[in-house]
Amino acid sequence: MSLGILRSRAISLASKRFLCTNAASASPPLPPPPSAASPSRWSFLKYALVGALTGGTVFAGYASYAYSLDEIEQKTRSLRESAKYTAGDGVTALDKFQGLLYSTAMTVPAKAVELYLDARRVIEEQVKSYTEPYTDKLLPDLLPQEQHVFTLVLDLNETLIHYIWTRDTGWQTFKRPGVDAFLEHLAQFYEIVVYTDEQNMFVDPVIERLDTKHCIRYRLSRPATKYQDGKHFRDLSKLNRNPGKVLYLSGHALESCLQPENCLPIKAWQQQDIDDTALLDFIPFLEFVARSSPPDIRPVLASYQGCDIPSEFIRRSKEHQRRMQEQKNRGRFWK
Amino acid sequence: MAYQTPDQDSGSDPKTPTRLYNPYKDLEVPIRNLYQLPTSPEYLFVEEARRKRRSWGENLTFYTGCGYLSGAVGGAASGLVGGVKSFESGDTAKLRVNRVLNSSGHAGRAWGNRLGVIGLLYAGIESGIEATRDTDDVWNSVAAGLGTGALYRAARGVRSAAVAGAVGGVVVGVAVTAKQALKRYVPI
Repeated sequence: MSLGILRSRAISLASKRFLCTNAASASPPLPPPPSAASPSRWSFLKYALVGALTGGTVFAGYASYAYSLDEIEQKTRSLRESAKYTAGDGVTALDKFQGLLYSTAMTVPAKAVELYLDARRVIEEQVKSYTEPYTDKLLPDLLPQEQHVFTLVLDLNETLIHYIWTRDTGWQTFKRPGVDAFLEHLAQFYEIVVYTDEQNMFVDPVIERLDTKHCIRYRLSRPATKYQDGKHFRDLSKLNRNPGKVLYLSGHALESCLQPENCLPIKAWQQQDIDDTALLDFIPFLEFVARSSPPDIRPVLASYQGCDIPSEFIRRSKEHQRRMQEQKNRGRFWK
Repeated sequence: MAYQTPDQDSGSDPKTPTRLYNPYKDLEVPIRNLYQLPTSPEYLFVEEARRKRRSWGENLTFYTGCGYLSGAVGGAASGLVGGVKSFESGDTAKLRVNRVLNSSGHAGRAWGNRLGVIGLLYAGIESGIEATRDTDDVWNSVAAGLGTGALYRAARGVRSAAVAGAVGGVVVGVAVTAKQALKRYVPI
């Protein structure tokens, strides 16, 4: 009975459609509808799409500027989770339909956010290969019998050498006074490393000429530095050494190092300062540090903060000798 | 340590004047390490120290380029003046622009080539004289100027070459003297 009713209803619908078709073909053709509505609709859709893309681009730019990758990933976790809807048991058909509709509506923003996160992750990893040191262990491991040895990290420009360019004579590179004696004397006590922000092709010939007695063990150049805020910083934590036994000597020590507690500021040298003796003046202090071998050099350097280290060291040595002399005199008086 | 070398004076160049310096002089310790310090800037690369002036190739490029450029600019300026003077009453703007451009281009190119050739000859002759005499002073420049003038006018006859040589020598002598006076009295 029900099937018969359905069948008859379908037949009636088909015949009605057929009759309508016949009526349309029989009557004279109507003029085409006015085409003023079509351009307005397409124009509206185009402007809406352009507006959406512009808004998305502006928002992505602001997010790139204001937030880091992890922050965006954390903030948009709930949004991306809402796109995955799983119907639980006991849910009515209406609630299931609503949930499905909501997850469908949220799929496009979630996909857009995931696309943005993937693109940004790829770009940041690409940039990091330029800005970070090329490895987390810039130096090989220390030998077991040299675990007590301090590491002396030296800068190159305006610390050991200075180079200028003049129109008359082109490039000229000058050695700081006393640099040969400095390297030769301190190679007995220290592991000497040159860590500079110059390129490899500049560092290698300079050190070959500067270090004819092979006092410098390792040379690190610009790929080993950390590029941050438009400058190349030395990251002493990547040297694979005990951070309490690393000394960084540079003419621009505090503004070119990420660990200022290990820095030894020295006066920046240029070639017209021919009476400079700063390198040789550091030899007594550095020799004393190597001989006394403190377990951590950082509090020692913190006590010298803001002072000219060689002259302050000499002053403290004199005061120490005077105090020892007073104790000796007091002992003699007591006897 | 791996480098147990005895501490001794650094092996500096014996020709370099040095002075002795003791960083321990304020410390009453028995260690006495005297270091030799140079009293003039010490070069790292020997070839940079040996180089005192431009090489002959750089000199050639420098003088030829400066000569051509100054000649081109000066010639273009004089051509501009000549073009403006040769305007006629019935000329249109297009004709006037064309006249100015033709005159400037022609005079600039002619004078640029002329001074470029003079610069080339001067640099070549000066480098040759310096290589021959193995010294660098004012007389090299004056002789180069004289040779340049003579060679430039050689095709026009002996008398013209002699006059041009004399003019060249005098001009270069004046230029070198002015340069030395400028370097001495004008703080740069």
